[in-house]
Amino acid sequence: MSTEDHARLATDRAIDAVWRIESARIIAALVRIVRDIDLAEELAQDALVAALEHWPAEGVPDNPGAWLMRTARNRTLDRLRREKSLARKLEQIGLDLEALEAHVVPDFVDAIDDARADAVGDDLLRLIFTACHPVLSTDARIALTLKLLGGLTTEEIARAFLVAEPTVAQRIVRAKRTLADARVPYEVPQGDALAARLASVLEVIYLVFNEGYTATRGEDWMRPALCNEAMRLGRVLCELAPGEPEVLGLTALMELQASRAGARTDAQGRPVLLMDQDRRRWDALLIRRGLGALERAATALQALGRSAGSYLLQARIAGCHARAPSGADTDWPAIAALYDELAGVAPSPVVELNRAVAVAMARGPEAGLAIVDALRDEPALKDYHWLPSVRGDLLAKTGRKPEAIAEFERAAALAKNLRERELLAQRARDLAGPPD
Amino acid sequence: MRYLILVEATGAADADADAFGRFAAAMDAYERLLARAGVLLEACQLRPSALGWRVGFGGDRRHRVEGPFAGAAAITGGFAIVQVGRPEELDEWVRRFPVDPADPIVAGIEVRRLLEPGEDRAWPPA
Repeated sequence: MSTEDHARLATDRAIDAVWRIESARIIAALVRIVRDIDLAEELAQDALVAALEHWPAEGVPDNPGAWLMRTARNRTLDRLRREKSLARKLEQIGLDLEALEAHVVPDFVDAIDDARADAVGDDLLRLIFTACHPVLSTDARIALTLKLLGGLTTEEIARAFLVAEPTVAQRIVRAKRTLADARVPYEVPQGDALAARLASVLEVIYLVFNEGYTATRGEDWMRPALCNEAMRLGRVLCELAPGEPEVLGLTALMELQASRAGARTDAQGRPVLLMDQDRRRWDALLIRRGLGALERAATALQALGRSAGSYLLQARIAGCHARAPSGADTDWPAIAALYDELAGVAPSPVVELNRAVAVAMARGPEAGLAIVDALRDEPALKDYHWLPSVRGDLLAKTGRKPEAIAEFERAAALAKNLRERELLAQRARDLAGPPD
Repeated sequence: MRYLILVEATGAADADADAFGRFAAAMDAYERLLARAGVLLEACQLRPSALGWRVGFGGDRRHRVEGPFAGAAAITGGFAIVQVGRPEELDEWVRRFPVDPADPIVAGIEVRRLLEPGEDRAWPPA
């Protein structure tokens, strides 16, 4: 590669980095002006293209974020002057060009005073709530959030979710059209609407996290990168809404789960159960952060006089595991109590099954079995291999060997993953003992 | 990937109360900037070197030198640990350290990648 090629590559990477850092704020500010996500994104992209044209020759400017914002703003104003109909539309909603020019602080990206940061933060919040609007399908919300808030390209999103790029592009186009058709206002919901809308945002972030968390070794690096992006969005949200216990709860949950990432598979890539993990490989920094967020959530909860929501309860359960020096030292009564609470807040068959495990550890296998037995006819768990797997384990512990073997065999037949299937079949064989 | 951003104060910021106050305020602002972007994992600020000491490990003798480290061009003033998607993002975050060029309180910033838990310790990696 020639020197020029190297320089070009370095500039491209710098532009890429600036875009990832700045694009959400630029788009968020532009949507406030033009009231149209599609147009705002197009104008921001124009600024990016201008950077790609100018920076390789002229060098990266001293303040690249401000350069992008200024360019995007100028293009917006040009567009508004040129297209009278657009300007008229905006006037109808109470905006005029003069006010607009005053409105966009050119160097806001470097502003560190809280007043300006608040204005930027408000725009970002509006953008998050719009991208995660319940009028959109889950897939559309995820794609739009990663594109607008994460600065990811359509191609990166496609790679991360193992779908074709045109599929993602389609989702984004349709999502923007749906938002425009539904005339979704660009605002942070207030009052009663806030809780439901916030739940929609948190759901998207947690889905992104889980998509990355279930990625296996050797897959495209974009997949595990989703975990980090989800955690980053969670932290951004914590900064924007520091008093929301569920925001803190979700962020704590993600950080506590991610803290175990290095320990959950062995050298051969086989899954290692939580109780068997080498806790020295848990990430102490993420645990500390997660537990810190739990404390802040408790304070926020008290201030609001609310009881804990489902993310916070799940995070507290993860926190119990994180605090235990070894699997044997796990505070199972505390975890069982948290599952009782979770079953009240967000009842589901899967929560019940997890509750059964915790109750069995806290009060003995018979108590757990009583909960599992009540789930046997649950249609949602019909093909869920963890149900017979847990039941087999509890039956084995109470000495009901033949029933346990049958359950492990059933679990093995249901397991989708070859390694899990092998593990479950082995447990059935172990119980059956050596052949005579 | 996680990086350590090590901020080095100038001798002036280490020795002068007013300059140190400005350095600490810049660090506060920097932490807020990183936190709002969602990239900050941990941050820490240090007291001036007058409250520290240095132990040199030369040969079989160890030399203890009491602070302040007068005459040193750069004195560690604090750090931030950030998580970013790409190393190039660090250039941006370093550039954004809020400092007035006319006020020499920051000597430099050192950026280092963390050795992650479970990562191969061999260098260069196989």
